[in-house]
Amino acid sequence: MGFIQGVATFSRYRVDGTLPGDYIEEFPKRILRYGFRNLDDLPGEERSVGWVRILDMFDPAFKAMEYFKDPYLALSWRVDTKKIPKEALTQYCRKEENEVKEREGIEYLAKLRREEIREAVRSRLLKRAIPQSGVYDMVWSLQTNAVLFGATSNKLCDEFAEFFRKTFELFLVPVYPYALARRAFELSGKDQDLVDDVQPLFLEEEALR
Amino acid sequence: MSVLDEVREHTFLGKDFLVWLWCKSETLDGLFDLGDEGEVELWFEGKITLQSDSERSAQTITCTGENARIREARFALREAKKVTSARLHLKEGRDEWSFDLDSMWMNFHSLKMPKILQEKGEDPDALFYQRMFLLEKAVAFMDALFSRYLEARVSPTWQTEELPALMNWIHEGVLP
Repeated sequence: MGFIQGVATFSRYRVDGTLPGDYIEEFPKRILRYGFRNLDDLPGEERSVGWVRILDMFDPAFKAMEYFKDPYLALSWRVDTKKIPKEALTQYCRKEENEVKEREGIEYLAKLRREEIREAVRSRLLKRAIPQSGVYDMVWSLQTNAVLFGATSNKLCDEFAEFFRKTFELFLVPVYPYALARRAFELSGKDQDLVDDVQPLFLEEEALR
Repeated sequence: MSVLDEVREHTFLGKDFLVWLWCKSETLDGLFDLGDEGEVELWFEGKITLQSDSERSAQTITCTGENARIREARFALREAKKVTSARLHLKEGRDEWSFDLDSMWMNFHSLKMPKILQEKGEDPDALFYQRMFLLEKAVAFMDALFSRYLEARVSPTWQTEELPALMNWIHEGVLP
């Protein structure tokens, strides 16, 4: 599912800024630096995000720079998350706390001690948890500065835009009706501020006339 | 003003565009002349979601069916409800796309593109380029349709011709 296979769901952006002159040399270093890392290699982490090959979510190595598809730069953004069910964490913590109390012959545990136990249990359960993966395609036209991103959730899109900024040191500006309207007027040689003259339609009021 | 504030303040742009597009798709038999972009056919394809503008009592109606000209959906436009998303079908020559377009961001959802026949041993990048060509084409058509709407809105004939025709379509469902 995405830009290359199946149906596509996506949001649109424009890159605010100029493409660096040495992007052919610079971008591969940055992409590699922000390439996806498996949660297995990140002990204690619940979430990992990074770039992978657009047609292979298991390849964060980018041996050949096949993401340069002139005039595009095409990558997928992979998001892995490990989740421990709240009930399971509570159950294992209680078991551990009871064992400690019995072993040490005490009736109550201090708050700090309980927090330490909770963190140790969480860390142990995280190692056993299987991550859920999400993969979202990203295609950037280096010619037009338009970026298509294969998701529409506001939260995910905001995180993606920030990750893009960190990787390429360029800001993404979302494309939305008002911005599109300003650009449309500009392209047709009209004053962009004309869009502010467009008022909402009140069809119910018109219907009463 | 933040992007999100700007989006919220002008959320009517996308909603009113979809109402206009729905009306035009029915009154022009789905044919749109987009000048340099060529001629396309567009029709609403069976699913329209409408929402009231009132923040206090936001009501959502989703109308589904083979024919989007369902009475309930059009009636809702007279009840201060606006189109917030619709399933659209776009056709240019032999190429056809269908997708949901939302009014807030004008994002594409579940876009089905024309099938691409791949031959064995073909360069895998060929598929990428063909898909991107088709995808960007759909985006360009929708942008061109949005531009047509904006031109109509700032045209002197909006009040004298376009709006009365739109109201006529809403009331009667007859050709203007």
